[in-house]
Amino acid sequence: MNYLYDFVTLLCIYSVLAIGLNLMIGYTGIFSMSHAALLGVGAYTSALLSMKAGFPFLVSMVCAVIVAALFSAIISVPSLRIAGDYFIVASMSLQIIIYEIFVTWIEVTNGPAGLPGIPRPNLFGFVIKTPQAYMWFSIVMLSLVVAAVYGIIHSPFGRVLRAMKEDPIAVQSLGESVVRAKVTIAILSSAIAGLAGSLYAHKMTFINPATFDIHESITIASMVILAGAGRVWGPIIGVFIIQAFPELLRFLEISGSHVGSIQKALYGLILILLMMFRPQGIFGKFKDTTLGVNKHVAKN
Amino acid sequence: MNTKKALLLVVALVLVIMAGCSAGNSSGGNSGGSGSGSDSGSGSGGTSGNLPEEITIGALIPMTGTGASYGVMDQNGADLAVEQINAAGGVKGIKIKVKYEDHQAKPQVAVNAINRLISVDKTPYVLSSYSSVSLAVAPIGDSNQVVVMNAGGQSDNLANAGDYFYNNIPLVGGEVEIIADYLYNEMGFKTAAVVYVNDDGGRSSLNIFKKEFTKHGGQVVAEEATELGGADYRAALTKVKSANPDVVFVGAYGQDTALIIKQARELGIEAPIAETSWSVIPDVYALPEAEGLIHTALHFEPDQSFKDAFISKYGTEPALYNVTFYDGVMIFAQALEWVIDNNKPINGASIKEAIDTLKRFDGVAGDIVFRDDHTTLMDVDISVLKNGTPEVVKTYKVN
Amino acid sequence: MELFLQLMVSGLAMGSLYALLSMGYGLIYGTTGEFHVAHAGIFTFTGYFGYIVYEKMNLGLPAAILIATVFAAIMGVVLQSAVYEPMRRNNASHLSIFIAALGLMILLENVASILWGYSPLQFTDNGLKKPIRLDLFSFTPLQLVIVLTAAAVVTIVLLYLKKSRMGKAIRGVADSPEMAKIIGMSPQKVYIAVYALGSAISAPAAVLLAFDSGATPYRGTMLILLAAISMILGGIGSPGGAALAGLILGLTQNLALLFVPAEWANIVTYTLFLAIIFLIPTGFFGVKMAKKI
Repeated sequence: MNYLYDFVTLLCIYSVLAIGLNLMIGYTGIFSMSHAALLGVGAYTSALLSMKAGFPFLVSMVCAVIVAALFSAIISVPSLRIAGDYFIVASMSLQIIIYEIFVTWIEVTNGPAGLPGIPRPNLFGFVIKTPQAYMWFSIVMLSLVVAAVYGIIHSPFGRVLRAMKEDPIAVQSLGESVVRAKVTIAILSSAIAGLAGSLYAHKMTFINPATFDIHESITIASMVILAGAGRVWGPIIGVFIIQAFPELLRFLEISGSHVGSIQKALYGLILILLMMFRPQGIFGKFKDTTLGVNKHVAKN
Repeated sequence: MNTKKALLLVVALVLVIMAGCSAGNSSGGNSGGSGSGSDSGSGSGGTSGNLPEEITIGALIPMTGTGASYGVMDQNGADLAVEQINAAGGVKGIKIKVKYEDHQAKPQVAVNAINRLISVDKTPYVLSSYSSVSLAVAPIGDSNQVVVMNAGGQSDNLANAGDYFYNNIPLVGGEVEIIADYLYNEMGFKTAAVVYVNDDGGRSSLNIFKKEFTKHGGQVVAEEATELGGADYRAALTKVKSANPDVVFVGAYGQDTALIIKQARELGIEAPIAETSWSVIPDVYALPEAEGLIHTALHFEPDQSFKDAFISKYGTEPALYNVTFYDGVMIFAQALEWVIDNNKPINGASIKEAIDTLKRFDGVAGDIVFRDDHTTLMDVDISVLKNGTPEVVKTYKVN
Repeated sequence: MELFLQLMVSGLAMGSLYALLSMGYGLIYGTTGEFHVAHAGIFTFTGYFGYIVYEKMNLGLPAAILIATVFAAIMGVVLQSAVYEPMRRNNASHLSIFIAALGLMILLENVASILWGYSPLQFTDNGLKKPIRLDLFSFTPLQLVIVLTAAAVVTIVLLYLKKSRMGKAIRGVADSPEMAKIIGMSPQKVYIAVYALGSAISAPAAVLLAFDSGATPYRGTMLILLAAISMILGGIGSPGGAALAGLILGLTQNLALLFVPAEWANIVTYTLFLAIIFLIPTGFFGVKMAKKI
């Protein structure tokens, strides 16, 4: 049963992350490649503050949220001022640089050897220790995040976001406030990532940079795109499919030295098929968010 | 597809997974006896009157990604042991089976994998590799009373990593100390450069080498990191060359070592190259540029039977991880035998008790003795590679 | 001084390989808007094609490069026709195509490892790797071959894009698909040409790299990030820019070691990239950004 509890726990944690990312990709049309790094920022911040500075869990978690938001602000503020498409490039660079910092700044992060012994969350005397307890904790956190995001989407601010995505040029007449809206969303989305990071660190009790590299960022983005933008909780399904799929493959009882490669190859194949037959994602109402420069705009 | 269909899909997937879980729970044939329906390890399963036919143990190895070639070595070693044990009728009639899981060098994947091994496959004993992975799963072994035997990772923070966590592979520190001492005191090298792979194992080698070499009075004139599975190390090696070291110490694994040595010679680095037993793989031995490589290696038993069996099954000489994973399985077999002889239930707690009681196990490269911090030291040879074969120049005995 | 010169040598060689990889990838993205990361998979397979021709069929290196290039082009066309074209007809977004390309990349990497294993497959040296030692630095004939090949391919391709009918169509489609129709070519045909050409451009690099350090299943995946960055740095829509940026990134990775230890090389390279992009958002030769929101 621990297997199931841990599976659900990780599902919730990654869902928090994906829902945050969906705010950017799905609702606002900004493609970000740095969410694994931000997850890491949250994780390391929370872990280090708990371990080295003795902060209580809730304080560490809040700090994780703030620090992740700050890191994102470093690039969101300058790059969203230019066309939103450049955010992709900036976020990719942020991802790579943050990852390299995790690996090289040994004095703080302990580099590839990682940080073992991260303490369990202690909420006013109650220690969340067992897999079952952590699962309920994560479910609660996920629900809170879903509620918060739902609130954002259905607020007047959320309506501005959706208008921006549908027709940025019409909204352009509003001028500055559009940039501010995008920056706000980027920061909110990263704050959520930081939260997920804290949950992750105190669940695993061991973190190292491998969990936070660019391949992970791409995987998280796949979860969001797979789910499609239609629902606030849609990304949960995306996370579920990508997480559950390898589990399903176990039951195929492939043996031999190529098990790992066969499983991964099948996973790749499923991604291809899913995208070919349901390109808009499961809940999809994905507008065409180009990944890069919108070349169809006139050259000056 | 709309919400309804999506939810149907989810429900279907959940049902399949739960079916899988319960199939593991209720099956008798596969690994029975090692625990009751839910968490394994602490149950009271089969006692000696009623032994299961087969026991499954787990193995967390890198099966994909840049480290995958080492996963193949791990598997080959373990498979040979299983084959030999089962051919001899198993342990007191019980056959052994290994379930391999890909950890992809990622802690969260490894945690999921070991949970699966424990819950679904009911393994009382899991072999692991990679220091970071081992550290991530150690707490899970402890909380589920399942023995985790690290046969691959070598960073020094693996000592005392858990009550149920053991290392049958000597941590790299031991070998590095020996070779650092040898290079300075016996070979008279005063300056050294270190080329290391930028991961936990590589960094461990770097740190210990620096400490030991400078302790004796030597000077480390360059330290350059390399990428695991990279294609071009020339920049780092060029810097090493310009520091003009007496000897170059390499802290990288097998295939990368081969490339490092090749490119080092290509650039004109003439200094001798030294490494730990990570260099003991056919790719390196067969390299003409590796002539004169000074390296540590586990000291094989004179009777050669393991080596011959390995060569006849796989066609190549055994490398370090082949040995440690072979030993890892053999340790389980010996522990299991003790458990049955002493009428204990077959589960992780008993296996742990066996290991703690026996402490000393037969390994192909000499005795494996578990110390209080759950690490082991092994006899180490210092060899020089001549014409593709290692010539032992000194042996350090520890047991 | 020797340090600088030697690092220049290795930087030029690796930079040339990156140039070809990025140029092919950038041509495809610049023209189609599709983030075709499966280019990494084709790159990996091409290394193996080269291995088979050189090592198993014993036909020599030039033949290996030529034949592997042809196979790469075919592979590019087959993949895009089987996977991307149906998606295009289905009005799939570029984001979805990216995920499909990702799936392809994963599939290809793992099929390669099933077919050929994870250990690097080495080419038997025919003397090209025997170093030539000069006073201040040394190099191998292979490194010279790499630089010359890259220079040749880049020049030929740029000329082709500038002068030939298809080349003009490609550049036209990069601006808008309607342009191709005006010249009289269907966009589909242009897409086929672009995928063929893009895969072919990177092919010699794949074979030469495999010749240098062995063919491995993850070779392409490890380098694709660099290719994407080069392409952006060079300016989207400029294959020449991508090639130049690839060269510069290769040089930076190597020359950075004049100042920092090897483990910092990546940080230096990527920080430099970020700095340049913030200063020149369109990259070296990219289309000027018209939107300011």
